[in-house]
Amino acid sequence: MMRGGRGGGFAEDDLKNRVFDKHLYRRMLRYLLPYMKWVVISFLILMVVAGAELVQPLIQQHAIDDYIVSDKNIAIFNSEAEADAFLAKYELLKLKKLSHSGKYFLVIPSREMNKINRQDVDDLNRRNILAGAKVYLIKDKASNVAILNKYLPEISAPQGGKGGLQGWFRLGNGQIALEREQLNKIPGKERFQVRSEAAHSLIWLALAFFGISLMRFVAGYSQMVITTTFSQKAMNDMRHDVFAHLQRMPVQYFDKNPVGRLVTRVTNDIRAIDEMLSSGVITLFQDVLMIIAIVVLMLFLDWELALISFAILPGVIWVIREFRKRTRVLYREVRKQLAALNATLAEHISGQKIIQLFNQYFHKRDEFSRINREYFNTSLKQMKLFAFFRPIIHVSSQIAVALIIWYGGGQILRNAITIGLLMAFAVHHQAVSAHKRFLGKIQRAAGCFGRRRAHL
Amino acid sequence: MRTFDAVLPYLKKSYGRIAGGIVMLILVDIVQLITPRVMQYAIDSIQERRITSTGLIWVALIIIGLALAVMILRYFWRVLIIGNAFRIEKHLRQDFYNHLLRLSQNFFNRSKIGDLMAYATNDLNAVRMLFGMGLIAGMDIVLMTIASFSFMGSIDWRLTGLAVLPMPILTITITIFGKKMHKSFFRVQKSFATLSGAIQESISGIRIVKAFGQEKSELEKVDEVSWQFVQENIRMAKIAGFFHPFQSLVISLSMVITLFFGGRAAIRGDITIGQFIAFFQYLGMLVWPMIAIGWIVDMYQRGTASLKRLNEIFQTAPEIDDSEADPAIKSLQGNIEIRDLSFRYGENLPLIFDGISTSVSDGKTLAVVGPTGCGKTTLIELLVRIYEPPKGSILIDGHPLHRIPLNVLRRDMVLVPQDIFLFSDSISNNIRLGSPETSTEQVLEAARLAQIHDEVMEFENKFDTVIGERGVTLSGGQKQRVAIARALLTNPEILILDDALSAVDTKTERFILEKLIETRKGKTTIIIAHRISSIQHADRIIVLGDGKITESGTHDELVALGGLYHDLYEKQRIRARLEGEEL
Repeated sequence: MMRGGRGGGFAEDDLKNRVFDKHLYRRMLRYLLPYMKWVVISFLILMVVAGAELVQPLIQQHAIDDYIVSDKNIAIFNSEAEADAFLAKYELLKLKKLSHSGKYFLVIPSREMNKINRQDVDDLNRRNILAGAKVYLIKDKASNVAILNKYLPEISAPQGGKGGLQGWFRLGNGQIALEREQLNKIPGKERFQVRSEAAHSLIWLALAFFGISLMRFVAGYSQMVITTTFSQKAMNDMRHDVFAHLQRMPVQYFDKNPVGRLVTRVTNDIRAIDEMLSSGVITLFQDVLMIIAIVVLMLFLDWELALISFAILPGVIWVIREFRKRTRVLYREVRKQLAALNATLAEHISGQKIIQLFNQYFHKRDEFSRINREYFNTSLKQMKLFAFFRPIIHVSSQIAVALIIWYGGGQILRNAITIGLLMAFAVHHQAVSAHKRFLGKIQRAAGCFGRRRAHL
Repeated sequence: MRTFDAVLPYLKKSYGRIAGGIVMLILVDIVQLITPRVMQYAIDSIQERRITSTGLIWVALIIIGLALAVMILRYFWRVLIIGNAFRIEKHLRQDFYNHLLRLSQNFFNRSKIGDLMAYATNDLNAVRMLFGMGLIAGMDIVLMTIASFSFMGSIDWRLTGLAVLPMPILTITITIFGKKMHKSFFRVQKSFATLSGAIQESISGIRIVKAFGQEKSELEKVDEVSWQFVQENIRMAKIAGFFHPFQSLVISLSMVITLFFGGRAAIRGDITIGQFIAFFQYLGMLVWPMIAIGWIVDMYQRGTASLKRLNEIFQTAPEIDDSEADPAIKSLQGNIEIRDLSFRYGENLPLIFDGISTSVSDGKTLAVVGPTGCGKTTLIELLVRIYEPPKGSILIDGHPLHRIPLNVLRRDMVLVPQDIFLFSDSISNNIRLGSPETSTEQVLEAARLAQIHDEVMEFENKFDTVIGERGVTLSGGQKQRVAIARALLTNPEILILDDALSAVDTKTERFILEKLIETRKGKTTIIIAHRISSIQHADRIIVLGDGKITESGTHDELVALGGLYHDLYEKQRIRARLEGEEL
């Protein structure tokens, strides 16, 4: 009977360890050698796709932080000297300095806030330099000013500290600042007008996002076709070699080995490797890469948050391992019983004449009924096991999200991170979970590879 | 018969389980929809600094609590609904078996066992999927779509309209590409079969290939087929390569639309940040239903197609049954009368018998000879009612065949058929097939009568030896003798042997026959054979030819007649003399 590739569960599991046999990989490499150019191209496309997958949530984050939410902190200094001193201390942050009618403003984006020393922040607060709430920046032009003036007073001498800014104020250099509460006093349509720059930038971001999606689409297609092409060609070469090798064998060899087994060596097993290659190893590699990249990114963005969100990981890995152990045993049982069930049915059908002649319908029927029931019971057991373990992965992902919210939320409250970052984190973490799940499936397919190599 | 009739009783019985499962499903979906709201609240509060650290802990705990609830509910709906689907499958499988095994020989003649097995495997599978995952996914899709839409709509219905614009494209694409993928996949499978076949052929004939030095051209032949396979795979990759990335593209289009229009709305203040983020999550929840619709429709189509196929079997009625049986007939004595029997297998098929008549009295032996294909086995199969003879053409103890209850007929009339079928079971279980409760001594006794006892005792596991595919393969003669033991075990009133000693050597044959004559005194026996040695002692011998009984009488009478029988006898005598055996 023809088999499509991913063979029976228990057989592969025994050979799972062989996947990591360097010897086997070396031989596979030998056949891929003539197509190395394509392998490299495929790999590069993979990098591009991986990059794109990472960039897109960042775009979302950027959009949210800088354009939609986009509130920034403002430090209002009365003397230029103080402002410059602060600037100098945090030169790396490249903060913008603006001044207007004797006041010196430093604009601190939310994501830079947590890079500032806690003591310095407290100091700024104590000296009422830091504005009590976050502000939006608006372009200083006549139409905007007209709208603002309709609803809010202009503050000529803005002050830091709590509750200080009940209105709007100029920052100089064509910028106006106002607190969110104040902004919300302006009705919708005019509010939008006033913030139209942000809205415009949104267009570019959206286009960028879609552009990347298009690129991913093209990349995905090319990668699939290229990978299939070179792996199929490599398999073709391997088939040719095995068959030629087989032909050269002396006749006695064919006496000893049944035709079926030899055919399998040339066809089925190669196909198993091929399937594994095109949907397994390459993607496995890609997934591992993705996970590493995302983890690195998360750590880079905010290592504390990242670590917290990964706290769940060891638990999940343990659970997965337990599950696989138990499921392996049951799976074998189910397969065995299904084989027995079908064999019995086939036998009874073949022998139906004899069964009727000897009046054994009821007896045989009971025999079948017993096997039918056993199979059902075992299947049910397996299903329950699966039903128990599957949701755990989902729960672990949610627990991580909960942790992210708890810890990350706290950080946001303490101005340590932005909301956009938080959301990006959640997205990345989901990506990691998805990849982890896929990895599990791949490991199963990998088992076939070992078996094929054993024959050569 | 309506499509779902076969499953209906089981659905009704388990409606509690199904209803419970659906309730769980609804609850899970509700919980899943609450989570974004919680996130929304959390994020909004964080942004507006409306929340404290303790508040955050509560939020985190709630999210975890909801996740745990989902986990528990999911477990239960899986167990309830999918478990139920397994249960339905089990019942259907049993019903299928129960019905199938009652059907008559004509049905099995025109059915291939592979096809019949397909009903029990593929079709049952499809039905299980339909009532398991099909039901769940179907409900899920409906619920998720409605709920997702409502929540998104409650945030901003204009945004919802815009965001879901690309979604129908997704569904349509999947349907179209699904079909293409299917076709492509079958082409790959077919190509693989061709490749397999070519390699198989080449290897099977390797000796000839080597003898004629044709290795190179064989290699080229295989290379070509192999290359076709490569091409088909690449073709499929092109379709698959388009399929999934395109799905992602459409989904990201939705996201872009949301980002842009939703962003503007958030800037305008029409929706809060929290709502904006929650909207994304609800949008994400819509993706799976859109993708799954195609899958569900497919599952539904397959499930119903399979049910229809199964119904075909359920609607086939057994041709041979007890519908006209007379329950008063409790046993048979063994007076068989064949009265003007004419029979053909089907309407346009030739006549096998053209009005033959003969009889066997209780306790007597009848032998039937004739050239191959003259209908000897057919006569037997009519006698045991594997095929239905015309009413009143065969009578036992004066009762027309169709009036005798089948269990009485089959108990009191036992056949050793020409083609021996033994089960993959122990030898003793095979022998006691007719009466599974028989004691071991009786089994051994039957084995002795059939002259198989001593040989079996030399097997490693003696009578517990398993025969068949998984076990020992018996020789033709051994099989025949086991079949004879099987027939003799129940000591039936009427014993029929259809060429039952053909593979047994003459000496053993004589032993068996002598035993048979001894033990079956007073019981009716019918023997079909080619060897005169088997039948010459019969009370009556009939010769069949051209659908009629051409000669009838005792051995001596028929030899004296100088016809077919006489010739047959002469030939065999000469051969026996040449081979140095006694006749």
